[in-house]
Amino acid sequence: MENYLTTEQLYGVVRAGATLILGVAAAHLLRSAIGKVLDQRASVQFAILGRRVAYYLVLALAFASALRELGLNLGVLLGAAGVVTVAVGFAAQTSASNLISGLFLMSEGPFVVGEVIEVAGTTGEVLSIDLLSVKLRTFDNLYVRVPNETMVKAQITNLTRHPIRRYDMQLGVAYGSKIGRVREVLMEVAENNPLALREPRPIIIFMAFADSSVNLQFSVWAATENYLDLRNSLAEEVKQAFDRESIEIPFPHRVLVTRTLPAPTPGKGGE
Amino acid sequence: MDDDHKKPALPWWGRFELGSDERGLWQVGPMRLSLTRRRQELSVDYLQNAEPRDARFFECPTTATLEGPGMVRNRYAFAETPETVWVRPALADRAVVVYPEYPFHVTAGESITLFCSTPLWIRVEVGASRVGLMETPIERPSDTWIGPSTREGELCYATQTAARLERASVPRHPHRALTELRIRNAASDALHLERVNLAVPYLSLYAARDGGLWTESVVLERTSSATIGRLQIGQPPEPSDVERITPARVTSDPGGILVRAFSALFD
Repeated sequence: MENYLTTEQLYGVVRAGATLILGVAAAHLLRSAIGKVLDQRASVQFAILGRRVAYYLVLALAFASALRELGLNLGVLLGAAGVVTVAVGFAAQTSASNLISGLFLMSEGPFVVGEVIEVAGTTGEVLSIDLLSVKLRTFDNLYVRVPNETMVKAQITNLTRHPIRRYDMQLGVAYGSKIGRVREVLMEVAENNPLALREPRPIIIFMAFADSSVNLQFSVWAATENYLDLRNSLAEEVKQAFDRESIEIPFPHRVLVTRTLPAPTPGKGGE
Repeated sequence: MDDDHKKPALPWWGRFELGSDERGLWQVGPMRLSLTRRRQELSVDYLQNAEPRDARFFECPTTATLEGPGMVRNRYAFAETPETVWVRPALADRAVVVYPEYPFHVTAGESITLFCSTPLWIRVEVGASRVGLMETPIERPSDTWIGPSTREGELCYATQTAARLERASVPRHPHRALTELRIRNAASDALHLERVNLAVPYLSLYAARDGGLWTESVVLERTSSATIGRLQIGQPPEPSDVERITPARVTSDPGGILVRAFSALFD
């Protein structure tokens, strides 16, 4: 034992251990203190970022101090780290790209934590915006990590940025229906649905004389938080109103015309 | 029908005592409300589409029960259920935009008074300290949006008004509160009143002796041909024998907020 660990080295190990423990405790305290301040004064993602930066900075300092207590020369370590950084830099191009993209994303602010976005075919609530990736929770409760590089390149749709949204219902009515009456019925449906905003007014847009129906777009506004409820209730109410008014929503159909072909003329050959 | 306006209407709000295992039943407009007191729970049931839609009665205690499709039930637990329950009306929790039924114009230089009504909420409170249990609109009004664009503005409720000019002709619905709107158009052109944004969270609710529910009057002045008028909360309603039954939801100085809320008045 004496050959491997002197008393002084043992003290060093104890001091390093104590430094680490104190460092972790200090990091926790600082994280929670910064969190409390930033929660009130900054946006959610900056509060999260501030907490993390403070936590890992203190942890890194504590780790460096602990190494020093053990007698390791940090200068040599940092020198070695420089060489390693060059090597790792080539291997970590993607991470570096994500990191820089993350900084751009944070400064641009196309969304904040808690908003619902659609990116690269995934729709979900933003849980956090980190330096390397954005974490989403989809509506079927999946955890999705989208790299920041993808976020910067892809088209992002923020579904909850504005307080009101428009729902565009596509519908077709039979050619036999009176369009004026259809218009009145649809407006009545919107008027009687409390979630449908009176202003901006609902509008009905003629879309096309299609194969089997006259296609219309019924556009109704709702508060963003009521969008889904409006979408469901409106569809049900339009169907009920059309049934009541005998307005047909046609399905694709083909008109078959049958006719009797003249009997084939008997040939002259044969028996 | 016209005589109905003159008869004192039964106030459906106030303090009620419920014994153990007793029930009270109210119908206010299209809402039917039932409160059932048991030793350790108070059951609050309501239906929002009851017929007739303009009824006003209560029976406390009663043996009648409340059932029907769409009935909502909430149970509130207590160590010992208080005997005292309060049922009272409140104004809407957001501003209400009132749309005249037909285009309405105030000609140049005229001062008029018109009456418009806004939907009421119903509150249930218990005990001496009036602990709030639930609050819901008696009839859910439609939403609407007031603002310069679809990005900036305020979500409000919408309601339609006949914009009556004579107090005597104003129908008294049990589930709506009346507001006297005094408009002075000092401009040289007519004022087209397309909509009135009533910031009802800043208004208190008063009960008149005849059973009508009123808010403070609202005064609107258009001093020049400017597109925005000046608006202020006026006096409590007349006659003076009214009692304030529900204070305003928002009590801060409404000056700036009201001007903003009413800026969309003239289009």
